[in-house]
Formats: sequence, C-alpha cells, structure tokens
Amino acid sequence: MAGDESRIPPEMRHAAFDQRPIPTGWYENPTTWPKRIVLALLALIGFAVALYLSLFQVSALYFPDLQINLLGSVWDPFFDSYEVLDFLHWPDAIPGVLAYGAEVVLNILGDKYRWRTAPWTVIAFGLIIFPAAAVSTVLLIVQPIFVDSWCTLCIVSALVSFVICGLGADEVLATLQHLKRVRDSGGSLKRALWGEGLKGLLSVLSRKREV
Amino acid sequence: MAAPDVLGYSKVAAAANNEHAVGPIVVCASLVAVWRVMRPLRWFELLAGAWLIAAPWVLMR
Repeated sequence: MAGDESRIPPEMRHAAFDQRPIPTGWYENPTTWPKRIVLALLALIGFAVALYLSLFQVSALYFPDLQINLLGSVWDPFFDSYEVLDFLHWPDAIPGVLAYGAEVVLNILGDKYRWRTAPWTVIAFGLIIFPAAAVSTVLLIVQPIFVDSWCTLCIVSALVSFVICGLGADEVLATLQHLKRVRDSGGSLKRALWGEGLKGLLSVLSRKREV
Repeated sequence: MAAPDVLGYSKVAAAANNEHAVGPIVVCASLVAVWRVMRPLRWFELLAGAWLIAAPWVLMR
C-alpha cells in the first residue's frame, strides 16, 4: 500500500529490502530447494566422474610402477579413453573436480530466497556453470580432432555440465535482475550482493522452513 | 558428432573436423536451451543447422 511506504525509513526504500517470495516479473521462485537439490545431485555426479578420472590420471602419470594400482585401467566401453586422458600428460580432470565440488557447495549455501538473501552464492555459482559448459564444449571438440578419440566418461561429464548450466541459468538471471533493481533504486550493490549475510546463509539451520 | 565415423567419411578432414567442432556446440546449446530462461539459444540452433546443411557445398569447393 502507498500509505505504508512513507513509514519506511528513506534508507530502506530501495529494492535491497524487497521481501517478496518471487522475483519481480517471475512466475516462480527460481531458488527453491527441490530444484537446487537436483542441481546439487547432478554436480555430485560430475564430481564423482571427474574424481574417478583424475585419480586414474594421477596414478597413471605419477605412479606408473605402483604394484597395487587400484585404477590400472579406466572404464570405457566404447572408446580409447586412455589416449584422451594421457594427451596433455597432466591430470586435467582435477580442475573439473574443483569446479563440480564448488558447484555442490555453492548450491547448498543460502536459504530458498537466496536470489535476494544471499545473491553472491548465486553469482559465484553462475561464474562457474557458464565457463564449465564452455570448457566442456571445447574439450568435446578437441577430443576427436586432436586426439582422434573420445572418452565416454568425459562425454558424461560434459553432458552433466550442460544440464547444470541450463537448469541453473534461471537463478543467475533472477539474481542479476535483482541486483540491477537495487542499483537502479539507489541501493548499495555491495550490500545487496551480500544480502542478509549470515542470516540468509544459515537460516536453513536456525529457522523453521516456511511454506 | 558421430556422423563422420558412422557414415565412413572420417578421412575427409574438412567435413569431419567441421562436424566434430559444430556437433558439441549444438549439443551444448540445445541442452542448455531446454530450460525457459535460455530458450532464445534455439535461434542459434537454426543458424547451426543451416550451416550444417550448407557446409558440404562450402567446404568441398
């Protein structure tokens, strides 16, 4: 109501103090838990695949003489994965492990309104998922052209990163729109990025989940 | 992505490299475009599809 607006102190009149459950112009909240749990599970699958591949790379590259080699071969029913995994002579699956791990953590952080209560978690998530999809695409291109082979688990990992990118893009967009609204209404972008700070982050633990 | 090997022209470098490069880009864009926010990426798919149809004539000249 317009009458209520005058009672809000001037320094609290901008979009950073928006209490709406759904971002302006959206049909639904893009940062609800069911969707984020799916995203976290996908990132966990990517994490497991990348971890498996990097364990193989590390053991093959640095411990080739090990008597008991747990990962002496890499699972691949279709292609010669080894050619791809050994191509750079460097365990290039490790950045993938780090990226997927960070995605899992950044997905769990923040309450279900984190597009406004903890926007930095969503922005950080977005800064990983888009480059991850781009890098996956480049890796898929490089494999047949330069290595002349594919690697089944690399393809699986790439597909997972594409789905994460598509599924996660909406909350990034909603958060960017929220931050733009804050800036346009004269609020502090830095404050808005931090959101409600620890309260927004830890409300999962401290507050009962509202409907 | 699989066409050069499945259809047996993987030795034709120009065609194989072209499809090995465009394939992953198309897969990435189409999967990402499944969700509402990224749906405009479908227009890019139209371009990519047109290129794949035109590529044999352009590359084989």
